[in-house]
Amino acid sequence: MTAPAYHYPDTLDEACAVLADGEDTMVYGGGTAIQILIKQGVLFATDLVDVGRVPGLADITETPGGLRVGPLVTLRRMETDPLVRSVVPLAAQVYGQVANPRVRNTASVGGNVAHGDYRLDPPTALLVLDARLELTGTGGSRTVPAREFFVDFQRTALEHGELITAIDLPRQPESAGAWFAKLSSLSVNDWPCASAAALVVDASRQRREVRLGLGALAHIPLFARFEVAATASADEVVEQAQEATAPLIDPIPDIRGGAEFKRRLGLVAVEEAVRGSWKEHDDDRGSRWSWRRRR
Amino acid sequence: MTIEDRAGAGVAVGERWARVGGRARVRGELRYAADQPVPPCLDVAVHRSTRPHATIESVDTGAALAREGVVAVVTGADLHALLGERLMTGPAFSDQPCLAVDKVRYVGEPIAAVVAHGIDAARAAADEITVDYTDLLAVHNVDAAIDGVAFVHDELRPSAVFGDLKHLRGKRGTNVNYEFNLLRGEPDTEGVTTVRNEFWSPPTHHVPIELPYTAAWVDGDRIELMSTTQTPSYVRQSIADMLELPLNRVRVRSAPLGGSFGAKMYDRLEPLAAALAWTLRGAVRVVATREEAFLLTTRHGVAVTSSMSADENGSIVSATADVRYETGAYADVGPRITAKSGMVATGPYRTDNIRVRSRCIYTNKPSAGPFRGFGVPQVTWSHESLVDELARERGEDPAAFRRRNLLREGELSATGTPMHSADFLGCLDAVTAAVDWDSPLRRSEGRLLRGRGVAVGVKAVLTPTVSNAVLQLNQDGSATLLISTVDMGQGSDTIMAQIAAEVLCLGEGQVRVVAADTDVTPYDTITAGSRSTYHTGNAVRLAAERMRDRLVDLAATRFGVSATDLKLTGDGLVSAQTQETVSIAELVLGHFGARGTTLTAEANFTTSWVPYDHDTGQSPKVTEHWFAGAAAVQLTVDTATGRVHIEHLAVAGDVGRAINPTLVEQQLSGAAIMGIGHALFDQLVFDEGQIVNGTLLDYQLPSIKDMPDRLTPIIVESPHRTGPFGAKGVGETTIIPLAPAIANAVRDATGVRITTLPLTAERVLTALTEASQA
Amino acid sequence: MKLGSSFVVPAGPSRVFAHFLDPRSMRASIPGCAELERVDGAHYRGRLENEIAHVRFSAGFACEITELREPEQVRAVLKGEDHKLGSSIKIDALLAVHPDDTADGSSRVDYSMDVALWGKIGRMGESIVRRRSQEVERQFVTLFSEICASGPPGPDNPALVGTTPAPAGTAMPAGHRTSWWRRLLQRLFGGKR
Repeated sequence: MTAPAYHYPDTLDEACAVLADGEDTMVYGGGTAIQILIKQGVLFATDLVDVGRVPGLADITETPGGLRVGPLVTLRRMETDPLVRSVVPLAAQVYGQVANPRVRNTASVGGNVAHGDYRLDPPTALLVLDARLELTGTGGSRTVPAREFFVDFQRTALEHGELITAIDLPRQPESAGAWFAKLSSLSVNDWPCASAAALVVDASRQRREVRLGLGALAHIPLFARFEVAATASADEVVEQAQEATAPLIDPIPDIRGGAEFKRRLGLVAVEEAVRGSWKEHDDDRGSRWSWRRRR
Repeated sequence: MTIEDRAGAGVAVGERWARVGGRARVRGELRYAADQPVPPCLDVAVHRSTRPHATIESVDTGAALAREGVVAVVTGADLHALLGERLMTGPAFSDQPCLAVDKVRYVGEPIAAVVAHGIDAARAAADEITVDYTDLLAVHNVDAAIDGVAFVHDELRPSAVFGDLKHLRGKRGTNVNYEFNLLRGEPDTEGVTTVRNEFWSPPTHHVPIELPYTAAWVDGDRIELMSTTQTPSYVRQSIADMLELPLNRVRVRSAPLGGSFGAKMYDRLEPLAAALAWTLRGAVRVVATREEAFLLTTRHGVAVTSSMSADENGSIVSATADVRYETGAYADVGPRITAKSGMVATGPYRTDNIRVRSRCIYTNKPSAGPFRGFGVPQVTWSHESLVDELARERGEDPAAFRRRNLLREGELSATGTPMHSADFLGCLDAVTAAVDWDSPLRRSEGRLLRGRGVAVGVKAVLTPTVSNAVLQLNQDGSATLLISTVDMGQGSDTIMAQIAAEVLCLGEGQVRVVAADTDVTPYDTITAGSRSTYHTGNAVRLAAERMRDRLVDLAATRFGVSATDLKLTGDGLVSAQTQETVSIAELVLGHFGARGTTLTAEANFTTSWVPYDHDTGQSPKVTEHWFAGAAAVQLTVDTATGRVHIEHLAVAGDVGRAINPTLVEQQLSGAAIMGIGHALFDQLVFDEGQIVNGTLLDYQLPSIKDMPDRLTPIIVESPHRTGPFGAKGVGETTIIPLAPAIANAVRDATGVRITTLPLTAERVLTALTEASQA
Repeated sequence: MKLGSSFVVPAGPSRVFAHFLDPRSMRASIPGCAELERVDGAHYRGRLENEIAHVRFSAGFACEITELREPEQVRAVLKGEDHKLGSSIKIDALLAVHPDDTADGSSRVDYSMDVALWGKIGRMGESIVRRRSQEVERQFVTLFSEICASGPPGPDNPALVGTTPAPAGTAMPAGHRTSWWRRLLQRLFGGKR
């Protein structure tokens, strides 16, 4: 197996040209996934394009609608940056639960979603926050909603020669409730066996919209939403959420659990995410936390 | 001689000296084997079998040889032509070639080696090798192996070294390479309460962070190795046998290891590296990748069918165990593990009627070998689950039931060997007190159920074995200790120095331990099985005592007093009669009349045993000493997810005497944490002979987030009459009872008894569901 | 690893069965199968091919029919090897064909496979293999149904006319990037991109 050639373009145009030029080209971001595949001898890329020298790809910028995040921003920065924490706290929470600090310090926001793995944490947040991805190739840029980005098992909307140049994250409404539940089945720090992000936003006239993003529960990240009366009890919302997501859940059995177990865990993750994000009218959060798993 | 008599005059033993090399390890400054200077080496990559069991019809190495940078491509057949049957190595059976000859016995077995300039060239060429196979029926588990669906080896090949295996030579038509039997009283006796069950502990891997590495080169008529090994003395003998060289023409060096746990001992990469270096007359380096390390050795998967029975008074009257060790394609030390663990398969309980049958069984999987605990955790999984269930059947507190039945000092074990310095009661009481065993428990909290569990463990130390120590006292009063014990994180470089320093009244940092080098450091059986503190420690103590006697003699001559008048203190040698004092430096300078001189003392410590009876396993002295440990746990089980969360884990080990309490606590804790993994998720998963989770992406180890909320290591000291200052080893003690302690707590919390490890969330949730439906 | 499922084909059992045993039909149905020939009554030999990064890849395989009960059941063992990837595959497959109750003239095919993957590919993860096998099944069922519906086996079958299957992978749909695992599996087993 021939080792891939590394390229270090200085500009975005150059990067796009190299990506379009090669046969099996791949963007090299933080390298946390690519390096493992290279070591295992199973990566067949001919060219790896390290975009680290391209200016501006590691910036976080506040926009009128929220944040624009460069693809080379590290997961760790998403977890810790005060701007992210204030504008999209759910994203900060979710990015903070990926893998471990060593990985988060190196892995990049763009590489993470481009990997397209069905178990990733960040897509669950991107789905409920209605994030949009800017994809750039030699022919220019286009924008794809996160909800349309994950096309198939480890396959994304990225076309040959394209790279992610930004993720636009709409501001999380102040009034929104948000929660991320991540359940592993083996070591606590393992890949999730089921994960769920929930965002509850105000909808029209005494109603709220519940948005759910699920990870590891099908071959791609899943998204569901429904509206519910603002006066509904948490139990009622949980029931609706489970009804809405159950038909979507179609887990792939593996060493982390059989399909039936993962399905059960998925519904638990949905319940936890909903309970964490749903504010009842006479909200008294403290009393409801005893059910939560010990960490 | 009492313990007090032999206590040293110094202030080293019992002190919390800082770990030697600890700072360098943390800062990445320690030089591991692969960092040590060696001659320029060619790199080696191997082509591996893609079949679990097949005859090798042909190996095509042409394309590999044609690649740039490739120096040689060597097959198992090539080596066999040069070395003959000497190619076959192994500590108990000479059954393993470093490159497969004639047939492959597991997926991933090395078949041919490429020697090349650079590892990339070597690996690329290894991919070009093609092998033509004829598939054979594969043996994927112990039951199929016992049924004899196919035979992994055509005939058994016990090593010439062991007389007790001689009768197995040439035996055909079996996958069982060893069987240990223990019989005591009338094992079919039954009391009023009997429990029986089937238990399974899956194979696991050691996952030391430092990967295995061996460099080998020819220097004139000698061969030298730098290797990650716990057993330099064994490797020297093994390589000398393979190459038919006298021992003085084989030099094996090791370096501090970055963890091992049994993974780096006996024949790992060394036979291949040595065979290639010797036959090619050059220098080669073999480095295992992480994925390859999973194929080098594993912990035995073990099936146990067992029973235990108690009379109306709550005394255990009988216990039986049928134990099947899955040793994989090569026996390695499996037969020894089978016997050592068979001896304790019914637990440390006063029981008159016992039957144990323990078998070591070949299958078509990577070879299983030593692993922290030497097979004992897998049988403890059986006896500690059974005894717990027996107590519960009787409606009795499991701790109280154990307390009544545990062996006391002087009582006979199942093998007929008396117990000494094995304070099971002390350990049990310590851990139950730590978790507040008798206090009321909030059993249910939301979706959580809470429970407590306890377990004890017993293990016999490897016997007989040999240790040696050479101590050089330098003229300036510092000392250099030559032993072949390998520091792999357990802290032997620290505590061996403490033992010598205690005798010689030296301070922290004054005794340096030399890294194992068979040209320099004397023979030591192995660094394994928690044996070093007691065995090598005794050799070190004896050498230091001889050195002390030597100093006393020199001072007696100097002062003109009798030797009995002199005492070695921190200030030097003091005459009680004249009150004269001389420092070690002055004394040695005066003796030799030169600076920088050395005094040398050496000592040997060898243990003996009475071999167990072939039919009954009985022996008045089957082991030099026993290890005793206990674990108690309080945990919650999440009824929605099946996940176990440990709130408090207390572990205790009777270490005789803690040479360095900090290091002892770290060993107690480290073994317990490893045990948490084995209890909850750590396992090698096989599918048709293929390891499916043999990468760190998928293999599960305890992370910081799996730690108990509270972990309490407790040192119990019941001094051993012949231990160095009463000390015994500790590296394995608390891994032994860990898994059953956790399972017993899950049983306490949920009412569900799970007998298959590990207790994954899925397994627990499934069991809870089944129990609620029943 | 055990895989299994069932699907309905718009043709009667005897025709479906005949297609199963016909190398031409199977070559056209199995994603990525470039060559398939019958060596004798019970043995087939074939090749799964692909082209990636200008490297033409091909893996040979041999298939033996170990049990045949026409037109109900066939058991076959397939073995293939990719030397460069240091991997091999063994599939023990059992196919059963019954008349389908729900539609006249249709057959239900139940299959179960014991798949052993050995070598580097074996540690890629069960999820990838399971997911991939679903895709392969989907593609196979589509192609196979079309062939069965078009007539009996042989060169006159409209669905088989002019089929000298091009190496798989040359017809790559425009658009989506192919992921690393997908390329790897294509190298191993072939498959349409």
